[in-house]
Amino acid sequence: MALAVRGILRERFYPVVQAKRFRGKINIQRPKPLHFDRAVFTELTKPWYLNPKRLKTPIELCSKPTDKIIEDVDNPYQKIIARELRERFDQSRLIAFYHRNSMNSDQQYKAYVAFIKAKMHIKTYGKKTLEMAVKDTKFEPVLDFYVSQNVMVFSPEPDIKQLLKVTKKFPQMVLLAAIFEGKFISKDEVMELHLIPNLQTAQAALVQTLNSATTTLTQQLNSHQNTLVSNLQERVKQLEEHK
Amino acid sequence: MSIYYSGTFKRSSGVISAITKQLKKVNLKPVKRIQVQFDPFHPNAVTARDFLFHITTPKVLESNLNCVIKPNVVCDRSEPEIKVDLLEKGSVKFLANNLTVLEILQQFNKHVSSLAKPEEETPVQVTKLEKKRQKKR
Repeated sequence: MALAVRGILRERFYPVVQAKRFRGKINIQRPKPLHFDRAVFTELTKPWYLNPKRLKTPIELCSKPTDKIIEDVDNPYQKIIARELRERFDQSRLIAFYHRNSMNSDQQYKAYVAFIKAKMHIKTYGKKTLEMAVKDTKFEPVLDFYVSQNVMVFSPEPDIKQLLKVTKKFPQMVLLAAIFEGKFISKDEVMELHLIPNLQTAQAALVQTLNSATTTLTQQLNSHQNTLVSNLQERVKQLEEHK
Repeated sequence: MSIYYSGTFKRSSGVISAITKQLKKVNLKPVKRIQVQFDPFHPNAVTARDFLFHITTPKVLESNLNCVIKPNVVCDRSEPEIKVDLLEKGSVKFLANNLTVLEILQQFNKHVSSLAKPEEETPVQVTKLEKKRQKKR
């Protein structure tokens, strides 16, 4: 047996090489019709599967599978922006909400600059970010009117006069509402607050009203003396003129 | 033999393309002023605000620079409305409470833009120099 193996190893096996194709394109589109037996064999050995849809009800077939719907992927950058927005909401004493009509970029930049000069920040956020920032807080009503085009202005000082002064220059920005010292105020109330003078003048007015009773009394007591004095002064003037 | 191509070459992008189509037809020439009144806290104020935004686009404003568009923000939870004062006597009032922007624009085009007189085309006089330049091109 060992000798036979050695014999096999001594022999060389040269395979016969028969060229099937020489250049030219291969034929895929018009295959030669197969020999009948071969054709039968091929047809019988073709794999067939049961239709996976055959036992399903129409509702199963036609409704979209809910588990395949991918919800919005968690966006950490949006969370950061939302956090920043939340901080702004908490720290600013005056927040104004505007409806924004179409503006040039030039106009937008001018508005930005004008507000910066008044120490206010003009910001545009998307609704989703705002929702993230503001949901389950006391500022949730903002989402109600945050439709269409919006712009927000944050001011660390509650300076309504300045705000309205800057807003007047840009008619494309329509004031909707504001948050003043953490409280929601409507546009009418903003105008009312705008008319209120600053604290000193208000105090002075209060003092005046408190003293009004006494001032009227002194005025009435001194009325006769005052008229006498004024008449005498007039007479003096007349005499001087005559001279 | 192949069949000729049938169907559209361009695809429309839904409502916005319909709105854009209406906006292109909008002509503010017969309008003196437009007053858009809405309460921001009203649930249906979206339409008025969207309409205001669309009507203040530069292309629409170009059609009549003398037309004044005034937004009026009220706080009494009243329903949004759009009042259009015409140059000739009369005004059109849109109650925007239950309308969509597209509907408002369609009705606007139907009642207001249709009043605008079509522009007369003046015959352009081409000078000899111009003709020569055109030929050279």
